[in-house]
Amino acid sequence: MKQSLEDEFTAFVAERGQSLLRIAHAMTGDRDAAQDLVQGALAKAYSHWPRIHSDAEAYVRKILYNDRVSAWRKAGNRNEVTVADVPDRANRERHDDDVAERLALREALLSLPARQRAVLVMRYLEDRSVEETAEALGCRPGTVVSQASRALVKLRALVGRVTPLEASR
Amino acid sequence: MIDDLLRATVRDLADESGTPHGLAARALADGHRIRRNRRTATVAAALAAVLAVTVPIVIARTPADETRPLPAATVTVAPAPAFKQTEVFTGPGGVPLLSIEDRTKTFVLNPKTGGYRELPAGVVWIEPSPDGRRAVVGRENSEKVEILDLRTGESWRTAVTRTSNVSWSGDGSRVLVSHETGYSIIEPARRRSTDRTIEPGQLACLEFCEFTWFAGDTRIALPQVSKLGEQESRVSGVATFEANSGTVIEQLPIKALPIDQFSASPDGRLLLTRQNQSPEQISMIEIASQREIAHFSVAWSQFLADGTVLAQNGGILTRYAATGAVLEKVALPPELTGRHLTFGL
Repeated sequence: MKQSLEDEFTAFVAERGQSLLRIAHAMTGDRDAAQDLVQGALAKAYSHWPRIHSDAEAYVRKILYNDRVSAWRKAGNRNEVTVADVPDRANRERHDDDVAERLALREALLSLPARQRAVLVMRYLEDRSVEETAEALGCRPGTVVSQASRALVKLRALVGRVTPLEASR
Repeated sequence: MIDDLLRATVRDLADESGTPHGLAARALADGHRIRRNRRTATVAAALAAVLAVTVPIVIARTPADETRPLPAATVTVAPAPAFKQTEVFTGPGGVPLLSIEDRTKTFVLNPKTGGYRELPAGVVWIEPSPDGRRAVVGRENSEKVEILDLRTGESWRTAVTRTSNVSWSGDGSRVLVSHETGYSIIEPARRRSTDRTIEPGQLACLEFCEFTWFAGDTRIALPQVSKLGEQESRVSGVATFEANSGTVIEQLPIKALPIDQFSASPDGRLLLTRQNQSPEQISMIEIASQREIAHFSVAWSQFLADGTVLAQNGGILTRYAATGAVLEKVALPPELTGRHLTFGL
């Protein structure tokens, strides 16, 4: 691979690495797992870089989401999630009830199957449309809607808030 | 709004990601390794691509659904019975309440004492067997299916990874877990699990294959999908398999998804289905005629052992006859309202 492409790849990681890491952490809830996930996705991206570099970010995101879903299916406890490490800053700024709700929701979110969690992360972190989420996950829009609906039914049951979310918007 | 709460929670999680260190250097090294390995794997990949050709499933076209209007609900709602944590609570049809989940606590019926006991805080969800003897429990830090014996308190973490919903057979002896390429059946009494791989041609699934138990405890069902175009697909039938062997028994001309648990009537004549995009809209279908017998808008529903249907909508439990007629309606006591409830059969 030419040096210029390697430089381009390095620049891409410097620019977009943090954003990708945020997505990975929202899906795994664990810093080490998130780093591993991003690193694996970037390695795959680099191995195809001459072909995909013009649309690298979309490619890496797709790998990120799909690798997480696949890893969750195949692996065991190494994909454990950590839910206790909540930053003090966030807690201090919010009302106790709100914090309790968010902690409950966080635990419920991390207990969802990976595909459902990936759908919610795309919709609520990245504000992606149903169609964009479907494209990134390599599935049909109807699947996104159904996965989101089922996730929200489960969250509702676990967290106890009964207001329907706008899953199909 | 919970919409905002969920958005804030997801963003909180993202904010805790930390700073990336050395990502580019490590990715470059790994990327080079992948490229090297790919060269040596080219021949094997080409062969695999040839073998991966799947056989399309042909499912006979079926006549259009004929729906029958739901009989008028003239049954009044009975007042809520009292709930005591030390006694078994029974729903319409005399079925026992097996578990109660709220945002922080999980209670399960103790088969020895007949009361409800709280499970440890690490348990985030529970799926009790319909006989109330055992439960599949989910812990916040584990993705393995774990079986809890509710009489002894002993738990067994299986080697099976939970990838989707789990479902108990009607007799409570086995747990069905779907995978990408088939399913696993766990037999808690024998502490063993069996994996079954299904031929790719039989796995025309809606993105993820979700098997469910069918009538009785020997058959399982899997919705089959046909593509209408590049992005669109529809459920074109439901395949049933012999659970132990994974052998296809028949293709049912049902164009909707069976619900997760206890979807078929005990005699195998009726099926509770949902639409993919509206999981709370339930249709009761007569399998032979594909006729919609009744339509419910409920949070959950299930067939009971006597062939009636139990469903919950808000704070009311309703039992329906196999004709769709309302048999009885009972309000939930305040202690159970807003909780996630699981009843036996």
